[in-house]
Amino acid sequence: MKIALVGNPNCGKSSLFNVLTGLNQKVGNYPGVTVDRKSGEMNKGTNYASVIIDLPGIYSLYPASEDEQIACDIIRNPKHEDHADVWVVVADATQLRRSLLLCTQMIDMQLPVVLAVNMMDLIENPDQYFNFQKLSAKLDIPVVPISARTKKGIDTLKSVLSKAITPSRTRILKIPEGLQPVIAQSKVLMNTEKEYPAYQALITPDDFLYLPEETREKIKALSPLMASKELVANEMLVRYDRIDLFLEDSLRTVTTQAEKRTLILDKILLHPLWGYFIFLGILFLIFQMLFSVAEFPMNFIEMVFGKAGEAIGKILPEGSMFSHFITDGVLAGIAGIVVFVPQIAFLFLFISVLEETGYMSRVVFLMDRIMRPFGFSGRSVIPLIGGMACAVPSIMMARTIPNPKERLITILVTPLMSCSARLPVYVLLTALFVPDIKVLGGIGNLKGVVMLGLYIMGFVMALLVAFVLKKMMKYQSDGIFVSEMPLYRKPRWQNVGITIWKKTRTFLIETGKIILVISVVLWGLKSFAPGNQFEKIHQKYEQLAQNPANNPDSLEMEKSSELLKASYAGVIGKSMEPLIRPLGYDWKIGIALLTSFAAREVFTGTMGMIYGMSESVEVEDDEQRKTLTERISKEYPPAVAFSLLIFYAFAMQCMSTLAVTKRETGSWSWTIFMLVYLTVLAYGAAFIAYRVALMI
Amino acid sequence: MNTRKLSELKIGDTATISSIETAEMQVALMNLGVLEGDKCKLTDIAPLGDPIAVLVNGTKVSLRKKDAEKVWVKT
Repeated sequence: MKIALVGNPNCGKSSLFNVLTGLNQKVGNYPGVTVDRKSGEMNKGTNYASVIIDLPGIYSLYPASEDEQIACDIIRNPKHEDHADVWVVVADATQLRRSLLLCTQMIDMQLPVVLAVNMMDLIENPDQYFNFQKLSAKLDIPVVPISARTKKGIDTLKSVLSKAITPSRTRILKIPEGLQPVIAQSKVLMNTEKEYPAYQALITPDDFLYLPEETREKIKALSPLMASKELVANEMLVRYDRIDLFLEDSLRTVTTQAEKRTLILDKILLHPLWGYFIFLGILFLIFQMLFSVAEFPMNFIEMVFGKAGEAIGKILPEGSMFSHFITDGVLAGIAGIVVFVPQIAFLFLFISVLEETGYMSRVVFLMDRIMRPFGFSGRSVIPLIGGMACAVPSIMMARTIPNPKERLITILVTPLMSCSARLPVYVLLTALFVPDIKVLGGIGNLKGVVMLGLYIMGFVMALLVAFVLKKMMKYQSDGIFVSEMPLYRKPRWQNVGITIWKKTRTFLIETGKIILVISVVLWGLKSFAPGNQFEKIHQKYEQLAQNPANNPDSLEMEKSSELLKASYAGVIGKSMEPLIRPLGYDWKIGIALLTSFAAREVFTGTMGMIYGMSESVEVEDDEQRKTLTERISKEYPPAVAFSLLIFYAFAMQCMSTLAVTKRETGSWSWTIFMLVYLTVLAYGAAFIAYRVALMI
Repeated sequence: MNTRKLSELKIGDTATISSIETAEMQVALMNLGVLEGDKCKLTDIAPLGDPIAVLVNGTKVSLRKKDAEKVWVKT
């Protein structure tokens, strides 16, 4: 049996879903859109096993957003794979009047409906306020008071669901006799026996996306004047009149402690001064967590993978292509995916706590006016700040932005924020041309100032690009911005845990696939050479090794340097030279650019390898950095380093970001657009930087 | 009785919603349980004066200023 949960946003629907299914959940995507499809199993392994589907939150059956459209499609289309056998309408006990709007629509859809009145734990002496028996009789559907938080009433709900549920015999909306001929025609076109959906299709034909366009046009032609928002508004007014009668001996809305607390808290959290202080404090905390605390588990993961690589290398036949493929290709690729897990988990920990408590909608309230001119949503602040740590979880976060245009803009500019992976490259390159001068009376260092400048430059560029994109994408009207600010409440840690777990898993599986493929390809480019080039190099060094005068370690390094130059990566790097000449780069930097497409932090390692140092150049290691800095500075003027720095600040050199962008936008075109615009931007800016630096 | 726009209220003012200008706006507000005839209280105004938040029937609703201009209230 299939059971669907429907209800307003913030009615505790997801909590009920978590209580009913535990960890037996699956999260996917509805095809073609970035709306989570959540389903799970209840009573697994018993006779009463059923599939629970948690539909996106809706206020009514007249959708106002992409999520709501999906939920309405499922409810209206009897052939949709998620169209359920039983529908549980989840209502908020403190907002019963409003919650019943959707419930009365579901009843008129002639679907088998159960009303679960949630959040009963917030109401003291509920018997004083509600008469659920009477409500149940009037609506002709089962009504079950529950609390997903305290799990009260859940068993009753389960036992109600285990019995057969029949559609209510009541009709709430009376459709005028005069419309019957048109309704009858609409029914035929829609292939339904039901009156209400046929009426809905007449007044909002464009929302019936599940019907073929041809059918929609025919319905529209039946009575063109009926397609109007006025009739929707009239219907809602009629429903509220009926609801007020249903609730005559129940309370329509209950003033709770939570509401009083919210009013007081908002006085502080939305204060023109303190509100921003607190928000900045929270941002700082998130930033710290992503930047410094996440580093410990990240280092640990790198160490584990390093050790695992060594161990596997020992088991497999030494020096064989296969063991090389496993350790350097596959394992390194997996390590590159797993290493993001701590940052993703931390970011989603914070985000889901902010969402759970209700604070996120306050962020929107505070930031909306400031962010709007740039084409952002108030919610874009979090992904942008998160982008300073890592663009990957930040782009996943953008999903919480309801307006598709604002979400797309946020995703497209987030990679411009200087992420933590750029830091080692910045450190290495600033050392090449910025003198070690104390500034601000000895407190600061000029290098630090340049570094800060790079972060600011990224942020300003993100604003500029967003502004241009906003002007370019005129396809959507801004519409009405009316939203609910939910009451503050304690986070439900089970929901938080499940969110973190689901997001991390989605990243590992969905994005991981793409990352793995690209790392294997890049490994292939580095590990193979045209013709028998590699054999010749191997032979040459075998002969050199015969001579005891040569140091075997330095020979080994020179050999890997030569191998890299001869490989396909080297060949491509060389053929790229004419293209990157104008920026002051030669083929060596070309190889570094190519290999750091996987991840920009690879730059230092590749440069190290080209200069015959060991591949694991640690920028944190002063000694190694100095050696590399000296070798590079011997060959390149400071202008090249400056141009490279600007290039790295803007360029798209992170396949994980591309992979996650593909997943979140669901479109290769936008992903390629992102890659192209960032490359053009980086190229242009680096070109200007190089020319200007040469003149100085 | 004084009729004015919702956007003209000050923090702490209470009023009764007398009319909502467009059907689109009516639907958006009715989705949140806000109807003509309901009492409302202006609780917060964001810096720069936009958006604003009103408390209606126990629901806090935030609206952009240009939308609040479509709602008429009696004080």
